[in-house]
Amino acid sequence: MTFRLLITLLIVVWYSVVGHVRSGDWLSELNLWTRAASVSPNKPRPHLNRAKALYGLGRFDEGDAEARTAAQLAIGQGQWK
Amino acid sequence: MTTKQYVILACVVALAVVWEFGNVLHAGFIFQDNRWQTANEAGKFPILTYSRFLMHWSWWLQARITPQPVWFHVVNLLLHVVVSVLVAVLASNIGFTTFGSVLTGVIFLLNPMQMETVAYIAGRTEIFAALGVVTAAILLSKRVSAGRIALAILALVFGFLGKESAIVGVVIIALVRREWLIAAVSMLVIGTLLVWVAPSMVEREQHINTLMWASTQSVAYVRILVTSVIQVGSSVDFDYDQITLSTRTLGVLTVLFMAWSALMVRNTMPLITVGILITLVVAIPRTVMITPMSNFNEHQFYLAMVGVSMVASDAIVRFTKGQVG
Repeated sequence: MTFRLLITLLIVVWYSVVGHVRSGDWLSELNLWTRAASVSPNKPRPHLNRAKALYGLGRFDEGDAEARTAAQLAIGQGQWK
Repeated sequence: MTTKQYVILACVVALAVVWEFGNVLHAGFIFQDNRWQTANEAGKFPILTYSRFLMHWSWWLQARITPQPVWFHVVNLLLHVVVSVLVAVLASNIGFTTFGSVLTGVIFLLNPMQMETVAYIAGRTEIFAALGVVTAAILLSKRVSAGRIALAILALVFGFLGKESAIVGVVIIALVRREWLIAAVSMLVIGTLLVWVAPSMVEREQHINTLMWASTQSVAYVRILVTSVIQVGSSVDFDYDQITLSTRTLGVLTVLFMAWSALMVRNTMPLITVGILITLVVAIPRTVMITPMSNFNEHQFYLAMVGVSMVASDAIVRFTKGQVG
């Protein structure tokens, strides 16, 4: 097996593993916005969208908590009055 | 690499595509896909005056033939595979070896950065735009004739009907032909057009400073570029509101440095120059067009990934040159 083939196969395996993990973010609204909120915890919109996703799943208490977080962040950053 | 090794690689890549993207085939309509699905179920055939006509047309057509989300994802994936093959062909045309061309196509196909464009059905706009631009670049990368120019124009129009960002295809064609002056002039013309045509009302209404926007977008570009290499920190709706002035300055300086570096090595490493400049050319309009609700994001980086793939591939080819055996 040549060195080039080995390097290429390593890239293929690495990309496919990371990509497979990343694909999980796109399986549902909740996954997507949970990920966004974890990467950008101080931004209101991901928390708000996560709240919507939770409401859509009937998880109202969790949705309320997430919506409160979004509101506090937005008010704190002067986005809402 | 031998033919047998390429066959082995092709089989592994096929499995990798299934493993990497197979998951999202089972996803529903999420993010803004719900909005487009509702709009296209209205029954009205999308008229030409609506922007991103191809995306709406293909969605309208699919909604009537195979309305289940899985088939929308399948079409996105198939289109992405087609673009990846075309990227490999383009790489071959502009001077990459067989190994380098195949590697360019593989990196473009499998880089996890592409997940957003493939999984997000509305990302089809980017795929159509890339399809048109890469096809036009292939047609004019080697020989120029009246017939090829006509076909390239058709391909660019196709790309533009996919997404208006395909307008940078003109610059990309000049870049792959290494006609640096034509590329620079084209970029200047497009940039000037955008400055005048872009909705400057947005700035007035939203009170968004142009320089602040350009610097934020520069940071966004660098962040996505780094993420495409180290594969950490990927997400939608990244928080660019909190970045500091020093980070913005660093972002702008990084972009300028990349442009300068690319031009410095244009004679010694022309393929790397082409790759870097392709990524920059895709990003520059985003620094001018102010879209307050959306900073530069991963699916908008789809066409830029052509450049990233070329740079990565050329670097690996050079690195492995001494180890070929």
